[in-house]
Amino acid sequence: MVRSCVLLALIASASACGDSGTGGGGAGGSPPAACEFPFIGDETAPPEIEIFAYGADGADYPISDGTVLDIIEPPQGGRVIFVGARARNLPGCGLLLTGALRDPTSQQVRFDTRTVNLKPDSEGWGSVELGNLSVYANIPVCSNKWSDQDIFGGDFSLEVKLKDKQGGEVEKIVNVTTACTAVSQAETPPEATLAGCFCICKAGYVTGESCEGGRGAGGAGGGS
Amino acid sequence: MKRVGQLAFVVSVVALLGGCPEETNPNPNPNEDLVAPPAGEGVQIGTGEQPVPAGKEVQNCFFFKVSELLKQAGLDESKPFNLHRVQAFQNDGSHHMNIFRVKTLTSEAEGGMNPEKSPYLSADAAPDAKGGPCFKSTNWADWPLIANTQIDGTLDWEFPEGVANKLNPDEWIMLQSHFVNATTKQTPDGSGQVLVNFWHMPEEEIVHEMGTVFATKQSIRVCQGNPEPQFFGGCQIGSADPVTVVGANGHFHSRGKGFEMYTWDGIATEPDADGKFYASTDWQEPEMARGESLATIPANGGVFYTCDFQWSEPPAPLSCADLNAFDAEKYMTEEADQDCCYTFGPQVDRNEHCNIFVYYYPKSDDVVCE
Repeated sequence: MVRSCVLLALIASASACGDSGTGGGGAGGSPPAACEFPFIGDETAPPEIEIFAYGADGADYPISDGTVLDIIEPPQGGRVIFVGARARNLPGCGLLLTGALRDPTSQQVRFDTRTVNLKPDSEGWGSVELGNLSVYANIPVCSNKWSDQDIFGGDFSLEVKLKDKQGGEVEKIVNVTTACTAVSQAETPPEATLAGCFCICKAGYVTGESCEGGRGAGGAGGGS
Repeated sequence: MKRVGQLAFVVSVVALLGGCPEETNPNPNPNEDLVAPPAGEGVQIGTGEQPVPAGKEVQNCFFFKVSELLKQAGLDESKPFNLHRVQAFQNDGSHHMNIFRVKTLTSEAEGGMNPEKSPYLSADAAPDAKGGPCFKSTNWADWPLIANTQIDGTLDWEFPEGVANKLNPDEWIMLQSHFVNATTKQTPDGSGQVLVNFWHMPEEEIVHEMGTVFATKQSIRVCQGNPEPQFFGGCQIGSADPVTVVGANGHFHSRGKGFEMYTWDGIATEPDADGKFYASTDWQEPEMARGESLATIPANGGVFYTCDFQWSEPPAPLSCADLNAFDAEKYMTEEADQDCCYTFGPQVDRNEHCNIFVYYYPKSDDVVCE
């Protein structure tokens, strides 16, 4: 597995930030104000973005061409990859983060879009809150009803975009691959999690197919 | 308002509320206001009057065996019930009524439901209450949708000519009824009732089987520090040919401000304005869009949906501390990340939803939602 160094700068700068914009709504205390993060960087400069993934070990890793992204079972079942972003020359509040995994052959895509805030750091950048997976793109990659290749070990294009309310946007596209992991947020035993990943993420998976040792394709919905 | 007073049934419901689920009459409450279909044409099912005390949310699950419904309808019990028209009545205070076809059953040991032990009655009021198995969405995670309504009063929907949803005799179906008598919504009479008429279409008249899509975006969070969040998702319908959308509605709670659906080619990551076929800004009575053809979804395409929210203070008696406690227990969110967030869940005052219901034809057995 290709692993780059941990985003030390990100972590260090994030830990030095105040809590002026979000988080920290302690039980019983006064809740924090709505997002008040300032514009991050230079309003006259083009936006810039760096992207990172949440790994099976709970750490964040920068993403570049060739990075292997960990596939994790979320609470609702199925499998996702978690992708975060840091950026500058963009507003700090209310940005739309889109993360998308695309099959380069069919162009079919799986995506997640959600509104996030970017917390300013000491280097003039802003980042989604590290480790808070609700502000990472939760890209639902399995069950695999969309790609002719196995999701694990396959070659994909990862597209990550930040868009502000005024229409400013920045996007980064890299070539990545993915790997099944035994990590489950659904409290599935590790062996079953891994077996289930290889089953529901394989090319040709059939909806409802019994996956030895693994949960089904997840509870995010479906139909007939 | 339509009222039905059948004391015997009320007594039985009250008795059941005080104890464990047990067998009940699968067709407990025929109603003169919503006339049941004539013999040979359909069947009426219902919940009876469900007590919804002040400060409570009540979600009850009732199971019916299709072969029994066929029998009651005076139809051949060995052949499918071909659902072609749905009439559904709910009195004021309803939040939703969903009917699913039962698929994977979670074991009772894991908190699942056993259709043979229907009904499951789940009342929830206190901030720390968790509700019963009828409040646990994982219990019906892969159960295909048959019908739903979110309006008070009567829905009457006849599917397009030649379109029917085939229910096999050996299947179970579940009627789930949710009434709210709390802060954001009230049930004036303290009682909720649902009646549903299923109308049958003769086999020889069927041209297309109806398919349905039910999606829940479970990673939503509506937080004070990110007070106007949007979430986008998609559902793919695996079909070599285009499919026609004939019904759609979105579902969220009181922080929901806008719900939209678009046709999706499975390739775009932005909604296509030209493909918009559904919009709602009313969380309590969202539009139930119906028509001969609301949209045509391209082969192997699907539905792109968007949900917009506006955070607001928790309704009394709830507080941010209650929401944070729920967030910590349900999602194991660390204190530093707690932010008075409404998270995915069924309870109107403390949770949010971003769910879609779509009806289309011809049916595909290959639907995946994100």
